[in-house]
Amino acid sequence: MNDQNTERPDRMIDRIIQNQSSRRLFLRRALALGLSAPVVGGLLAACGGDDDDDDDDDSGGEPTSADAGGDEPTATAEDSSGEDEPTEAEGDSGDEPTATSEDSGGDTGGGEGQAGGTLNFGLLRDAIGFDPHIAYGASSSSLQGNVYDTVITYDLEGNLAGGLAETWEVSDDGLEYTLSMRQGVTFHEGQAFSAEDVVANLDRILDETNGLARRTELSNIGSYEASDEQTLVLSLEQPYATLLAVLATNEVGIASKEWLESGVDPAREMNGTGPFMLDSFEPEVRYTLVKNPNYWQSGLPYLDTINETPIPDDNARVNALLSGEINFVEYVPWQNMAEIDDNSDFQLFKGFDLYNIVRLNTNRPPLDNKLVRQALNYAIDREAVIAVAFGGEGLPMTNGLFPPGSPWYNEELEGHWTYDPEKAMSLLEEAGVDPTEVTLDFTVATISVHSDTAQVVQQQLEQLGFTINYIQQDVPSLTERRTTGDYQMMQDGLSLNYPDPDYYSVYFAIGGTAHAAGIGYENEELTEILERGRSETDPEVRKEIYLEFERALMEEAPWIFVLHRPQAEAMAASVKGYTRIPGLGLRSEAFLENLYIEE
Amino acid sequence: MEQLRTVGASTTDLREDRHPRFEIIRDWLHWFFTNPRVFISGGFIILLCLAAIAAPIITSSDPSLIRADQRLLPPGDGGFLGTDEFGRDLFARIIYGARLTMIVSLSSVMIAAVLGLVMGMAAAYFKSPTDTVLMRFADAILSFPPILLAIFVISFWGSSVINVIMVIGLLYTPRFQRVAYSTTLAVQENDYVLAARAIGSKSTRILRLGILPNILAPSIVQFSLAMGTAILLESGLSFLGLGPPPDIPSWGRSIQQASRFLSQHPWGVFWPSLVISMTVLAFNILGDALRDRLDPRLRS
Amino acid sequence: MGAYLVRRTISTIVLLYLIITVVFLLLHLLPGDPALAVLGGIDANPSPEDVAQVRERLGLDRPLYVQYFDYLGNIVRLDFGESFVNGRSVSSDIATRLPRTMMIIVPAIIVAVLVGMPLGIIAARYRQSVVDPMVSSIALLGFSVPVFVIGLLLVYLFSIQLGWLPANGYIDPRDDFPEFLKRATLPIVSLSLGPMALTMRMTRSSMLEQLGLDYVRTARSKGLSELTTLYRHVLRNALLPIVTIVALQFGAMFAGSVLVESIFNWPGVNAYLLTAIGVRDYPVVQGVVAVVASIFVLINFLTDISFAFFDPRIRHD
Repeated sequence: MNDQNTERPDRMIDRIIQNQSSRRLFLRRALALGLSAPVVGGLLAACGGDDDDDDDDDSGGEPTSADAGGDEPTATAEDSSGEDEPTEAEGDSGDEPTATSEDSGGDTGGGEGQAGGTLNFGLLRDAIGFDPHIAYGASSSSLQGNVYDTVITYDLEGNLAGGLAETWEVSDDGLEYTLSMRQGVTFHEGQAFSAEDVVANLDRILDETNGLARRTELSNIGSYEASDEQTLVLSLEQPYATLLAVLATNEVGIASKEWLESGVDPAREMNGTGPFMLDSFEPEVRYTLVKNPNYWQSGLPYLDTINETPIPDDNARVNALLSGEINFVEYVPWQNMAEIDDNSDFQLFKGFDLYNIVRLNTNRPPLDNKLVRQALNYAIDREAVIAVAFGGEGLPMTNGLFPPGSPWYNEELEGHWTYDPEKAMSLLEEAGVDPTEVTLDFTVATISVHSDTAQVVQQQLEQLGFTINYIQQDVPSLTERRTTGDYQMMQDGLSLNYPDPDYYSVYFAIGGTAHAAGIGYENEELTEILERGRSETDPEVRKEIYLEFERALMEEAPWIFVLHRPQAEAMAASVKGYTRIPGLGLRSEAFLENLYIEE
Repeated sequence: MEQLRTVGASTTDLREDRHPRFEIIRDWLHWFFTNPRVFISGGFIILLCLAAIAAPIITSSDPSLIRADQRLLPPGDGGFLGTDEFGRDLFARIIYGARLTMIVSLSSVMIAAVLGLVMGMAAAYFKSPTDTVLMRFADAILSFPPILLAIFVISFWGSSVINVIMVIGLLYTPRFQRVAYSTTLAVQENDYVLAARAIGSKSTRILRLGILPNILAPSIVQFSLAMGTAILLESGLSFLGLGPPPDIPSWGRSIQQASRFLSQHPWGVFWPSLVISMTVLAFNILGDALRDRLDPRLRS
Repeated sequence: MGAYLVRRTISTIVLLYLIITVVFLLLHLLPGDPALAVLGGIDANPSPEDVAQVRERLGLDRPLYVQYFDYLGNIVRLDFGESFVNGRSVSSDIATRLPRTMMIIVPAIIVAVLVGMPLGIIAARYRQSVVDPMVSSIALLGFSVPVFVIGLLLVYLFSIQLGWLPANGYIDPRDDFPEFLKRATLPIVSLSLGPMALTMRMTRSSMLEQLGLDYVRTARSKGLSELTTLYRHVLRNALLPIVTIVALQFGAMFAGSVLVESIFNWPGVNAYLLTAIGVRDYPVVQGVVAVVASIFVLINFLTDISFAFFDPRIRHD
């Protein structure tokens, strides 16, 4: 596909030779994360200074590892403990499931999947709509992502890979992208796919009056045209390193131009090129997808039918899996993770792609003082929060937003935030703040993934002497307060919409819509570093820029960084082929074409 | 039949007039101690109230103290009844939770009873347009999905104990109103009320002396029922996340939180469920007994 | 009776108008911008221009009174508009969801009355024997356990431990009736226990009240048989409070069905409403409240009419 792929094995071997002692860790990470250049670059550092601190979760009896991939394919291969790890097949088999397995790894995915069968899929939320350009939340990726293809996609290791575009080239100055589209692809309703379809979809997204999801990001494209049926040329005014990652999001699915122009309502009908076709649906009851017999990846998909049923109640959803009603479930509550993992009838795929943080309003005293904000970060015993609010299923957030294992994880900053009440007190003293005289308003949503964390945070800040005024709000009220900046401290849980550190801009750049705009947070330094990172195309240089950014971020401490939250999908033992793609987390559900049912 | 009712109602008045006050108290105490179901249910409620008031004396544990290393312990470890998913002492949480339950249910039902009785009697006695306005008020509340009302209040004013009391109070007013209304309608057709009206007695006097005593018995039964269901409603609101904020110990929220651990740690659901059920049961039994005592027509 | 009916009908219509107006006002005063929910809810991070765009598309930028009259005009034509979030017709969504809620509420009420009333009569009839305390205690127990605890217990017992019945979900009875029954059983049972106990209690109380009255003694002394006394006189007079309580129960059933729908993942009208409130989907909330309120008001109306029927004194005032 792209050039990067070819150099991966060599560099990997180099690393292994250089650092035998961390071979196991390295292998696990390398395979879990994918082997692209930026990844291996990142791992250079990881291998050097690793003290195996993130192996604790493994030895703690959790078959699924603490790393971003969660469903860490090679963990079992390396572990002698022999815990039944569901994903060994894909882990060994390399990137393309359709490729015939050349490994000795055994029953690898692709070629040996069994065609046929039905996946009964328990959704957290009802699919609000089907529009390929609207973000309906991660839950909808199982519908949008399987019916629509994107121009760029990911392979199972989390590297950008060709989707509807077979290959792409980027000019040296990073300003021109030439994408070459696959031929012979047809939409579910029979229309032939061409570069014109992509143009029509970009037109639709970029039309301001449509209010669609990725408009802001895609407006970095200066102009675009289909130079012929097969070729799309994107011209940028300045380099935008995140472009391919944005094109790979579910919200840039490609629908047929002819179909879009025929006046259909894309929120209620679907016509993509993906592995599955929408067959029928009854809102809040069932969405039925059937196999696309003309899918461009030969041999895929395996499944004949996918029935998706929204089961919003956590207990009900898990019970439906345990009682055999359904054989795949998303959003496994952490309470049930260990139970399901220990049960040999089921498999669990876990990751840590979400994070719980506390927003601090930097314009409201005493939080306008960065020493106070730093003090709050030192006042939190993250291990205790994880133990209490997530039963030990989580990773402390001791540096930035990227968990250990992510390509963008900065090992250098690992352990920046520690639990150090004395340091917190001395910082407060330095700031001239007596916590016993301060009352902090703490706004929290009524959902337990937020309120559980908030209760522990509240107690820990109270132990420092603060008075905490716990304000409970339902989600829409909280969202409104968030956008208008009407809070002093606010518990929140977030995730990256695409695995690229430029996502920091959405929070911390001046005018960043997900945080800075609400409270009017204006930090020139952070904004400048983010701009540099966005226009840099060399992954190695970007990596350094974001290290610099995270250093500055830690100093600023605009949030209380609390924890990386566990998230998992679970399925019956007979369901094979699922991979939690590194960096994508739950959005791995957009790749159901690789699943099959083993009799 | 009207004749018979009149006789029944006036016997009540006569009987109570004849007793000096201390004899009434002695009677009640005698009733309390000789009647096993009254003794047990009433005793349970009194104990619970005492426990709620004297919570810090009964347990030295802080009900809100989160202990990361003592999560989900069975009874005996980490506290008399075990610990919850936050490592908090379940016994302490139940004792302190009794405070919230008692405050919320008592005050909300009191509000509902006073409002409901006044409005119900007034509606029946003064007829149109008072009737229409007041009873339509009851209908309006009854036709408003309770959850929606709770969400409105909580989104608008935040979820404090006061707001939960107001919501439950408002939701229960029509119950008393309807009981008062239907009873007043029936009673005021009696000759003695008609006679009193005819000779121009003041309305408040007729309502207080002629009608209220007849409403008291069914109202007390309704009160005991309402106390029980107010506790259930508070726990239901908490179960949906609409109760008071989580830093206040509440039985309902405990169940909701612990229901996520039902298979691993049933104690967290079991104890608060048991206490809620027993408390509701106690109020119901007591209500029945009070009814038998207050309504001489039921005496055999 | 005619004049009474007319008067009640008018006041019912006025009441409905008031409810519809109050809901409209409350919703629009409630914090939480629907545009934010449309733009992704808790994951939303839209720009102010996006928000303005969506508000314009949803018609939320118009003056409140314009929106109000628009809304009233539509309601008169029974058109509740389209959902902000998914653009589906609210009327047709209510038409699919309300029956699903009724499919558990109505059987639950029927079960409650069919079991509760005979138990209440038996308890009152055999007040002196052990039957009364036994029946009363069992009823009280069912009445004292929160509906969500009953629901969780049933799921745990019958779905997970025994595997007899599905844990949740809904199947259209027209597609597969036996499967529908299997799925509806647990919700109906959870929902019926409370009202069953209450019906039993009210029947018992009401019967006892009547049995204690002198006319019963008179009737007995006149030599009327026990059964005739019981059914012809006592039950008829006792029915008034029972009817009231069953009617009032309907409201409580709706509240209970919120919890039951959530536990059993039953896609009824309550789940619909709760989701809609959670995203401030005004047309859906307004539509559901209008319909549910109409049903309640209608039931109250019928209750009052039946009051008048059972107790003729009321309609002559």
